[in-house]
Amino acid sequence: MQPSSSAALSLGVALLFLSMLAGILWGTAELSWAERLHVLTRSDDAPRGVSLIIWQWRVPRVLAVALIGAMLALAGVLMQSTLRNPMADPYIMGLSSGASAAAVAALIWLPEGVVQMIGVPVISFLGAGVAFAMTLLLSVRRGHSLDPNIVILAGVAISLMFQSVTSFFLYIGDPHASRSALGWLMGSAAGADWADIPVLVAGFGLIAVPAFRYAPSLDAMLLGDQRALALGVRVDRLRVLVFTGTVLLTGLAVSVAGIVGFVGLILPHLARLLAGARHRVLLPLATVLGALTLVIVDLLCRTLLAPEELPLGVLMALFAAPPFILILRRARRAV
Amino acid sequence: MRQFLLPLAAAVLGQLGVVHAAPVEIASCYGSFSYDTAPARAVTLNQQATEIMLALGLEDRLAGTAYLDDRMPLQWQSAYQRIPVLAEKYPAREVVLASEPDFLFAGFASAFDKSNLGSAAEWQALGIGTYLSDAACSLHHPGDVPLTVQPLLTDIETIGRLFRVEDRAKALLANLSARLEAVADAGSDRDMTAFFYSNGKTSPYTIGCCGSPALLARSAGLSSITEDINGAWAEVGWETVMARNPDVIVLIDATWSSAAEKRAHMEADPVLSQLDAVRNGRFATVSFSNTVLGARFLEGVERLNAELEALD
Repeated sequence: MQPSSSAALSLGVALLFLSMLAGILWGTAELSWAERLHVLTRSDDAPRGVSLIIWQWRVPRVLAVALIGAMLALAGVLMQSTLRNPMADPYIMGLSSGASAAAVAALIWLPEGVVQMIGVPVISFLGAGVAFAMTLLLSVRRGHSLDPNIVILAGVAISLMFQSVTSFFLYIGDPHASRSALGWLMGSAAGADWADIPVLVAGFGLIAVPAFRYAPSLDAMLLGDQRALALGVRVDRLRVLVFTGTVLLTGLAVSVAGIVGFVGLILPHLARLLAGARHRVLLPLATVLGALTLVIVDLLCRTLLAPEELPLGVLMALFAAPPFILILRRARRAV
Repeated sequence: MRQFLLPLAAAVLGQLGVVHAAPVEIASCYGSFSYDTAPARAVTLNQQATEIMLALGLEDRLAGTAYLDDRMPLQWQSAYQRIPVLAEKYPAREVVLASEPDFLFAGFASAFDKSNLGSAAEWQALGIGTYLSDAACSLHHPGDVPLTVQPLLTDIETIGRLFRVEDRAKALLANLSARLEAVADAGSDRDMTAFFYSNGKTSPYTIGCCGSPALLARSAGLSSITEDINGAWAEVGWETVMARNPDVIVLIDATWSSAAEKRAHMEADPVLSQLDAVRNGRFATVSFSNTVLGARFLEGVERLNAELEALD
């Protein structure tokens, strides 16, 4: 590891901890410093309401947001590398559209009781899975290896299809129901609680550990299929593994916080600018940056208009644009 | 001959008198429109518009209604059922035009959106007058100025004048004014904070500072914990509700989100169930139509008053 990239990583981790602390100290409700200190030190003087706000809502929410940011950035790196496409993101195989269509259909169309029983998270995860399976089926040709361009095109087609389903339900739905569905589409971690944390940790660990072990193979993928094969990488098998991992990462993230765009597209590029394309360095850095960014954006969403809250998508797009322009300028200079 | 001519002349003059009886000029949010005769085929596009027509006994002038937010109350149900329902929500323009209306009455500005009926000006160009409930006119009532009950009185007075039923309008206004005074007295010494819960589980949709729901809260002598937020409605974080710990929770009952479901959600949630109001069962309920400044608004204030008194 180069000294500069390890410095970037340690700085990122330090900032992540600070931002998580800030995410616990500040929020939509204005609390006094005395109250915050009492609660954090678990003193007996802590007012019960404030204590519940911090321990039952803010702490799990900040943890969930950090995990989701990390998962999306990790999925983004994996997709961009295996498809060798800078515009690839975790949603490129139609996952977000499938999840949205399922969630919106459930919120607007299914009876409340059924939705309560199954839960929107499970429904949206299933939607993502269905869209992924359809994209994969469209891309596979017997006797041929997976062509990244076909995968991307199939993803676009499936996305368009599910987007029209989503629009249909939003349009016919009662405006009040459509409103809550719209909130889900723009992403929000407001519903995160302790029950989500173990699931997210397990999902993240299950993919992050093998991804790190496969780092040299991922490096080889960047050289093109032919050379990767020559270096002994089983390209097709790796692609299918990565796709499956992405479904798990993205599906879980979406099921907790709805559609959070840009993290999986921009942060991998930013990490590459800072640390280069070697995956052993890139993967951890992108993961930390993803977590850091989403924790900060979520904190801003909760404080800018307090006591009202903004959806993640609104601010994320705003913050994603400047770095994206920067990346574009760098890329043009490089060419 | 004279015996014959005189009644004829009187009849002709009488006829002319009706036709040319000073045309009524009605001011609406979108400018004024002149009506030579009282409309005979009116179409209402929202529930509060329909209810004002029915409260004035004008069901025989209605050629169609649309868009209910909740059930039509019993006192108007039989009259309502005799009027064709053009659509469950907003009808398409073609459907409206096919019903041959001479007057369109909307309760929310969205009725005249491009994607719904199209602009009021287009309808007026066709010779069809339009009226939007004064409370819904953002030109007259910006989102940061608290609403008063005056727009409701304006609506009743205007519709009464347009349909030449001024006497009925006057009687209805007198009735409302008397009830308004009575509730103002009842709520005047109430010192209670309230959280109004409309819908939403992950973050609740509640009332802002200045729309008709906030007027409902003020009229019942409640101070809303979200009266620092602009607009009629707002989505807040649950944290705010926890931190501001309201004395009472007012559930807004609607077809799309029932009061019982919201109460069950708060009682089952590990954190929200710890709110003082939830622990002590201090809930009150109003229906969604009661939060709209229409013919049933006062009934909402009275109902809220009665429920709050029962809690004490």
